[in-house]
Amino acid sequence: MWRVTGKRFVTILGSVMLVATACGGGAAAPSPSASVAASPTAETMTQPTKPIEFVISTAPGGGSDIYARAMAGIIEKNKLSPQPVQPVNKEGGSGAVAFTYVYEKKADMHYIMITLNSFFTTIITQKLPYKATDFTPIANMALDPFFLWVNDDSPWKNAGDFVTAAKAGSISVAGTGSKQEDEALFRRIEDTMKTKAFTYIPQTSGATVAAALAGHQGGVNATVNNPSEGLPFYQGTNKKLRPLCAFTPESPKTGVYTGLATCASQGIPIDDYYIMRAIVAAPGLTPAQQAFWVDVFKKVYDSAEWKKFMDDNALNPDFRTGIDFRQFLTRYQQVHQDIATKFNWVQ
Amino acid sequence: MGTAAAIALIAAVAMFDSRAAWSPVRGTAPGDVGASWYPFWTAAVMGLAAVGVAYRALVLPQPKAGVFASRASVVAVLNLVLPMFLYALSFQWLGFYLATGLYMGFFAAYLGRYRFYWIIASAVITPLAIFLLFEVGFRLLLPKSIFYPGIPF
Amino acid sequence: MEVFGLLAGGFATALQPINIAFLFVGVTLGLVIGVLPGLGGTSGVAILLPISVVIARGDIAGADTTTAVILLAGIYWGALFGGVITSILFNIPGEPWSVVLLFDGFPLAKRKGKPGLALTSSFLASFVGAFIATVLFTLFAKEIADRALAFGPPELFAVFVLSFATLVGLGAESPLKALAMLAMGLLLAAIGFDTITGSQRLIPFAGSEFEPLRNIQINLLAGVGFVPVTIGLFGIGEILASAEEQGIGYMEKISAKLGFKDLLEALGALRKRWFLVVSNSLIGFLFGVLPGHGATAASFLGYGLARQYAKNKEDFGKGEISGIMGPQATADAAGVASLVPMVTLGVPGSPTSAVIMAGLFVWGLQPGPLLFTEHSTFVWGLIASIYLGHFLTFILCLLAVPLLASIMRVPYAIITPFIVVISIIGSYSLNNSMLDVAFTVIFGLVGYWLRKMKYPLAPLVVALVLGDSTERELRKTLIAGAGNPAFFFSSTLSTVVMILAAIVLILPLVGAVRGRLRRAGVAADDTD
Repeated sequence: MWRVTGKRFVTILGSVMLVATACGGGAAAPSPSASVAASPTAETMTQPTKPIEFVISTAPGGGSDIYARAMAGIIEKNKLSPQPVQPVNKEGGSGAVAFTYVYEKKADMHYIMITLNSFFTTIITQKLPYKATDFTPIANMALDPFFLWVNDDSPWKNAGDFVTAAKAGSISVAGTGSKQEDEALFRRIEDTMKTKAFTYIPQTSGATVAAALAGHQGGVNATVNNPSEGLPFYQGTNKKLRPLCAFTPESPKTGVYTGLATCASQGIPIDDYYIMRAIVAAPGLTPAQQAFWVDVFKKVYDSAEWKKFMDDNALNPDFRTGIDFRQFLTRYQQVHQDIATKFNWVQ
Repeated sequence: MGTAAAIALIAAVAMFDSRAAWSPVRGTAPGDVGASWYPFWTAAVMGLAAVGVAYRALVLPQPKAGVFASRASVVAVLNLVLPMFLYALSFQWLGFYLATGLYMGFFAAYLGRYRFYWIIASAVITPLAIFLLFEVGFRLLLPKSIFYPGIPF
Repeated sequence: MEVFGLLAGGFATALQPINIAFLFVGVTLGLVIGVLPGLGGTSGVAILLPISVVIARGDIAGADTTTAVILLAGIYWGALFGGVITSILFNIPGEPWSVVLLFDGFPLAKRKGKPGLALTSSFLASFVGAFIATVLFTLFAKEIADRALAFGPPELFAVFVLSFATLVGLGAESPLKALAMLAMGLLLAAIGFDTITGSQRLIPFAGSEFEPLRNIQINLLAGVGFVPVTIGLFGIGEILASAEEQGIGYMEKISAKLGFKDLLEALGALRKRWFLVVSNSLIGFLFGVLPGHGATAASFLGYGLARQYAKNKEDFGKGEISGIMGPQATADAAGVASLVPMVTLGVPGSPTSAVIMAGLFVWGLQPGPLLFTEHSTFVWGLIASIYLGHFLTFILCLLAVPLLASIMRVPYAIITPFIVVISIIGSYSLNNSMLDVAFTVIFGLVGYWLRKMKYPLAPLVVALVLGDSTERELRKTLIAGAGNPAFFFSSTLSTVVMILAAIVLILPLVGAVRGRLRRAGVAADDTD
């Protein structure tokens, strides 16, 4: 709205002096002030010249927020950027506010954003006037796998039991948000295994999803939490939840989940769906500007801190950039588009 | 009366916007009442209450009095409202700091009629304190003027 | 008992000079953040996360993860205390949980000319509430957190209904006007993205291709934040109203007595209200433990209950001390309690504790049951620092009261634009959104006008704050029960709370009808 993106207003109001605003202004002025011209223009700059906004589409404390702040901390500590990288939360509208904010900063390399699957689902279901692939892709930093979780005292011992029960009657499940990745996965299960429709109860965050299952809130009996979200309820003497299987091609090889069966091996043939933890930048960056950010995040990825962070949170290391990342984005866009069409998510 | 009518009008618009509350397709899950149900009925309650207020205003005898006590009070309110509007609107060109300085200075000069050094102090110290607190202390970026980065604020 | 040994160990950790130093830094920063509207405890903690990483890594001699968490939690305690300062002095909420302090805090400071008493009372209530909550935290953290998990949609919905029931009729001379305002708040809360179906609601001209309008619409998807609206309704609205009332140069005589006398008076007030403050602290603690609901919702429930207990209901909204102490004790207790599920279950109890939890992740700690066993020093150091932090904050606040109260004597031509500047920067810095600034200005005018037309603003604010969660829990309950209303009574707990709410709602009606009948009878007698 009144968030003015530079040039047009600079030309209109370049010469409006302090007093003139009180009179209403409006005199057409010739050119941007000379001091602006002295610094490199948006097109020629290959290094940021002012603090960078690292936009986060979730509230402070949400999944993306933790990841983004961890990365910003690594950038700061290792001095990977000549200008400070400042995390900025633009939550709301399941990401729509953040995406639009960055989209409006066309060709400005001072705006980068951490994204997850809502980058596809929200843009599709809210009919936003751009596509995920319009943004300048930087890199994917990790993939967060999904597990199928049930209560520790649940009668279901494996994915087969779960599917049998789901065919017999509608199971109440919980997940983050509506028409987002958790629901997308449940709808895929429903569609692939021909079960009865799940009763999907949307929650506000991944942590409350796990809590809803642990407390059987509203009769919830299963979730597809990430490994890190389920961990507090899985470890220790007070175990409340257990994973039935992982939606990954292979069983986890390290950490507390070592040896957990894949869902595919237990009859649910879904092994290609993750939450991406990816970085994109404002649309229309030059290749040199894009290369600057790719380089920064490559260094973040290679740092010991990020390795430890991925390990602690049971993330799949998965660095993609360039054409590889672009193809990945296109494929995920298609996956979500298909689900949205099939389940009539776009009104 | 006019206020009640305005509220009733808003209610009517909101109810129209939420007319999907009557559509047979409701929400995505069995049992869900759908997105429009709640705004429709809150708007309905608001509209009914506003109609009630208007009815009482019409039926019950009203003390005859103008909305504003005097011309002076209208002036006093406008004195505040107009600069506030200009101030909020001018952010996009002047940024927070210039706009705030001008705004504080304007008040000190126009309403306070202080000596010029007080005016300058008020116009400089406030934005400076905000700058130190927000940009330096908490590293939160506030909007800058169109002269940025020619001048640092 | 084992607990006391562990707690003593915790104090030994928290009392190390480096930890005390960072606790001091934390609560002082928290107070500043609390005073600034918009900039809240949540963002304050988030901003300091990078620094906390450096501390947690041990770059500073003697500092470790415990020091880091003491710093971040200190900000929270400071903000819990500090938010009320802006509410009481300027009629602008410094923090979301101090919105409810606008109802009685500002009237006591301004209309009754007792800013010192208003501030001291709220600090005292904060301290007592936090202390009670910390004791409960120390003794029963794990057990209570486990129980809280069973608190699902029907139970939560029942609690929200109870909150509304206690707040109905708030500040209402005309019940119809109050009802209209209540519905308007609910309607404002409904604007934007519906979290249950993911569809857009009440977005003006949805589907338009007009570019500037689309930007507003997309920003509206995030909903209408209650903080910018309240800043406008109360802060800006009040400035306009008092400008009209008294023209230029309206300064009132603010009570000159400062400091010690206020403390004595506040202590006296506390002694008369000890039952209210203690019970509200307990309720705040229980509410704060529930995952995802923090001090804000609790503060409204606390206000409603304070009003419900009171014999002098009509004094509420005009500067009644119970209306300050009640919600403030509840809010602070809930704030402390929101760390309980974070530490024990890895589920944050409030947005601020969610950010502190993010800190734990970044430092390499896994929140959850293992913290108590594997990082015992950390947990007990944190618990001990809650006691120390609140004590420190309380002392700092008391010392600052004379200075703060004297702010109200700053000349009109400086303080008025200053309040506008603070309001506008506050609503901007909340989400870096110009739309929020627009809301503040617009609702400033709306609030001024509604006040003039004698529409009560409190019901609007209550509904706007609680509306979203109430609707969400209602619909989640309906979905979980597949549309069967019996599901609202599916647990003993929800049934009990629902019945309580019904009683609270119906009793005053019965009383009013009886009163009217009796008056009618008396009048009839007179004419005979």
